[in-house]
Amino acid sequence: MALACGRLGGGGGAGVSKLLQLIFGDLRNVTSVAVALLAAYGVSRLVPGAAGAALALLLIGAAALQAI
Amino acid sequence: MSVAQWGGASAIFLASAVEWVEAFTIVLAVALTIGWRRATGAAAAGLAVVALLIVLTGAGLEAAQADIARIRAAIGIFLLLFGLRWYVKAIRRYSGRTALHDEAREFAETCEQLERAEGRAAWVVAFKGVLLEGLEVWLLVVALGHTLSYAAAAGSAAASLAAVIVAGLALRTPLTRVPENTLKYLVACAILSFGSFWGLGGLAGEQAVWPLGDVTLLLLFAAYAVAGRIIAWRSRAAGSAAAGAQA
Repeated sequence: MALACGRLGGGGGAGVSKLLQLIFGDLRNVTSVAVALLAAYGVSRLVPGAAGAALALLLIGAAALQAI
Repeated sequence: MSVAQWGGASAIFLASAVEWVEAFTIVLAVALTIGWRRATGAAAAGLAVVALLIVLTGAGLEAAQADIARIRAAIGIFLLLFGLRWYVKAIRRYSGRTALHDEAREFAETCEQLERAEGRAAWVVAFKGVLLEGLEVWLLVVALGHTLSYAAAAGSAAASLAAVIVAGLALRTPLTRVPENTLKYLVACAILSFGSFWGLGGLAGEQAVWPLGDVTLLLLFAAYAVAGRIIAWRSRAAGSAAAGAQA
């Protein structure tokens, strides 16, 4: 909504940037997901059965850090 | 239908409803400024672009002969990016760190902005509003369409649109009673669950990392839902304590 109303005019570059942010979020979001996935993938090489739990815990931790 | 299919269809329906409600609020505000005929024309143009994207993407996915594990991994990673963003936003709203979305306020602000705009600019606002909210729906249909069928996923989003239009036209006011944050939170938990399941499963082998199979989706959903509420509660308590110390 804010995106739609905030641009009665608006450049294409800014529009693309906002669209990318709409899809992927900010750098912190991308980093959180990348780190969580890489770490969980690492765990899966050692203890495959624990990798899923590790991913969920890491994502919950990332959400806590971003939210608080 | 399997757990994954029910989950996918429900997530698409609910998430789409949230986006359509926001789009409807914009179109309603524009309709009161430039009239229903032009506002619905702009909305229809925005919806046509979204529908075209859905059709083209569906055809592209049908044609793609990529390895299923790679597709799952790519979709899973995308869902994690999308889901984590919604999850954090919803937690912040529950904890009071971000204001709850207020359709009535957004409606008033949009009307105020439109009063200063010309008719053509108002048309553009309606078009872009529907297009942008529709793009989020498109992303969800593409990503979660994998759980059931692409046509069923698109149908779920269309059913959601129909429900919002019927409710909106019946009321002719912004749909303020929709528990938007609760819906977004539940959808975020579902998206994160699918994203975790496919993202890691696609990268490291589904059977190895998720030995319980589809049932894991329910467990993941419960874990994300409970953890998010605990984070929100702790965040709210910390905020209250800080405010109390300052007073």
